[in-house]
Amino acid sequence: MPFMRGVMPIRRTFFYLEQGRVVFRDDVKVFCLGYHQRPEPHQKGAKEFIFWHWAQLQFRNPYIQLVKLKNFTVTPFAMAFLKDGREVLFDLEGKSKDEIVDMFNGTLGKTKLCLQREALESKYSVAGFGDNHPRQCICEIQGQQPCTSLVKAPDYMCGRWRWNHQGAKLKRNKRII
Amino acid sequence: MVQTKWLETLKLASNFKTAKDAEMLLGLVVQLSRIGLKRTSIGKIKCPWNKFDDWTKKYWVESEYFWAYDQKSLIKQGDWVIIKPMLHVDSPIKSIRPITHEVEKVVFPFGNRVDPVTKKLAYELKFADDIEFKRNLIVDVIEKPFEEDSLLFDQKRELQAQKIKELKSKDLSKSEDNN
Repeated sequence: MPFMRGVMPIRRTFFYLEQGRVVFRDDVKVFCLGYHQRPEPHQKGAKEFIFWHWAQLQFRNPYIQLVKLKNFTVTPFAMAFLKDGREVLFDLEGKSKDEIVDMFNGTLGKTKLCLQREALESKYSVAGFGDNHPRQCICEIQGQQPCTSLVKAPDYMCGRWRWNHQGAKLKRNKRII
Repeated sequence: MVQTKWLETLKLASNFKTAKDAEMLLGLVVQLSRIGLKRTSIGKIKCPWNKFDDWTKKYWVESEYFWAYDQKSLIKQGDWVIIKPMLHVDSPIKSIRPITHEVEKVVFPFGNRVDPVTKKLAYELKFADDIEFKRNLIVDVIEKPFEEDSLLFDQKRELQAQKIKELKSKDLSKSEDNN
């Protein structure tokens, strides 16, 4: 952790961000949380949740809009807006940050089973090539075009030939390529 | 391989999709206007959007502004509203301002806020009921005894102390009943 600035800089590490426990369901599009700047003992949980877990929440849910509402209302609350138009309201008064995390997980979070299944489904497709796939390039396979770093490709494969070829010159005005 | 994994995490963190692609947004109405022959109202809405900074590895709020079409004229300045991207835009409206969204509903109207959990009015982090109750108490206990002109100063003070005693005994009896 080379850049140790601020309060609790561990929160600014990828390792910490990946540890986020709450992954919202696909229905949830907007999530807002009202907390207090100077909380009383029964309002502390919301502020601590934001301090420790807000960045994690956004990291694990990159396409949800998270909105912080400071000194908004008397009771600390959270509101989730679903795709259908439904609203889910949470009362965070008198709860600690861990209880709040469990609450979010229980109502709107994806279960471990669901996450495991998604991880398996998102694994690389065997038909693909590249960094995250078993085969780097199609030139590795027998019967395919050899690697152009070793063997020069035929002329008709180059854009130079395609745009400057006799046939292409005549048709260029009509923009047929 | 380590580098590619780092890039993947960076991509995830920087939520590549911008607020324009979001299916739903919560925002504050910052400006109002009217357009067209029918003078339909539109609003400029400020939507907070968290952007990830690669160097500090923190999420910073960079708000995005959208103009939203408000056919039913629900909104006023200062409301918190939900917006959705508008798919079918009539051509004369589109040409005047870059209207991309449509107002769906008002979530927190402007003014003294109604607590969503308790549904009570609140003035600056205190419930309206509590404020009124306190005010009435002060009037009953402190100010009313002093309004009785026939009494002397010490007698008025005795009256005040008597009232405080009564209130305290009431509280005790209530708590006893509960227990």
